[in-house]
Amino acid sequence: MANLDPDIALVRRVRIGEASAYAEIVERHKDRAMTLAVRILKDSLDAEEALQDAFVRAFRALDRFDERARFSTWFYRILYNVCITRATKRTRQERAMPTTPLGALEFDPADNNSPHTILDLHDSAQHVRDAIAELPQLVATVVTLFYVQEMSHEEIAEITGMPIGTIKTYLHRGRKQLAVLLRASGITREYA
Amino acid sequence: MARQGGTMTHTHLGFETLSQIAAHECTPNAEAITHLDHCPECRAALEECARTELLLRMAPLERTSSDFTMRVMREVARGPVAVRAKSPLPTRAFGIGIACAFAILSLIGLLLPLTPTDKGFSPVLHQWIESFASVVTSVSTSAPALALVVIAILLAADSVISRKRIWTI
Repeated sequence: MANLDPDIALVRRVRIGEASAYAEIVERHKDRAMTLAVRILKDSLDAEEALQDAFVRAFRALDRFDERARFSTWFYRILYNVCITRATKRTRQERAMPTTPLGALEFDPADNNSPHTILDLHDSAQHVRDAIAELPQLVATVVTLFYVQEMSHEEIAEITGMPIGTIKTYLHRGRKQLAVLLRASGITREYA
Repeated sequence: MARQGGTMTHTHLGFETLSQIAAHECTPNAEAITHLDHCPECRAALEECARTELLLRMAPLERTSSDFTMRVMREVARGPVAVRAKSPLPTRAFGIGIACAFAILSLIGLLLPLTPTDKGFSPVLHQWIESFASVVTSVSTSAPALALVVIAILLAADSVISRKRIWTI
């Protein structure tokens, strides 16, 4: 059966030397991929660097990409590995040199002028984004791959190298935690 | 029938079941459908799960900076090229073809002296066979060397073509 993945045609064009086709691939995936990178690394600048690194690595490994697979699954595996490696390095550096984040010093939940009250509370989208940002790294990764990249449990397992049972557990944990967080921010109502 | 931390007693549907129904990961069985028909609490919980699902699917994407693609392409152009440009020569198939041709030629060259050439053929045909045999014999003696030269040329051409920097942006 022919592979209907629209990325495959672009990959073939890259393979015969058409540089602009890779730019098209980057354009197609950059925002969704950036979302995943931000959710793992919790920092936009770091995420963008990781994403650039992943795109360059993917390009250099393109001759090893098997066209029977989905390009996005293959690429997200590279991105996931780059992000996890970065996150691990960063954690080691932070352990070696502990610092108090500025945000933690400035934020006081009891203060009415705190960033949380200044924010537009009716902006559901922003609240969802914030709620996801509060999830633990792996839970946020699974939730993002499932909801943003619309990947199946099997594809997420392939990207992260985790068993399908673990993916389902993380997804369940994420939904439960998000329901609590969104309820707390008034986006959804308490039902009982 | 109180809910505790998102889970319910046995008469209510649990959070996991409701969220899976809302995410279309499972279809509710007859028992669950009957329960949902008669339990406003579980219906409200399912609605909340569905709303959460919708919000998650509609969550805004993070954006890269405006020059991101350009930076990636610049980086790609700078580094070593791993994507091999396709060689205009059908190297592998061509090489195999050449090698087979030379192998057959060498075999004919070896076998020809063993074939009867003095009887059973017309003089013209005999002359043809003799001249063909002499050509084949002379070619077949140098066939292995020729094959090596052709293969070396093909490999060199392929290597030069595939290493050529093609990414100029």
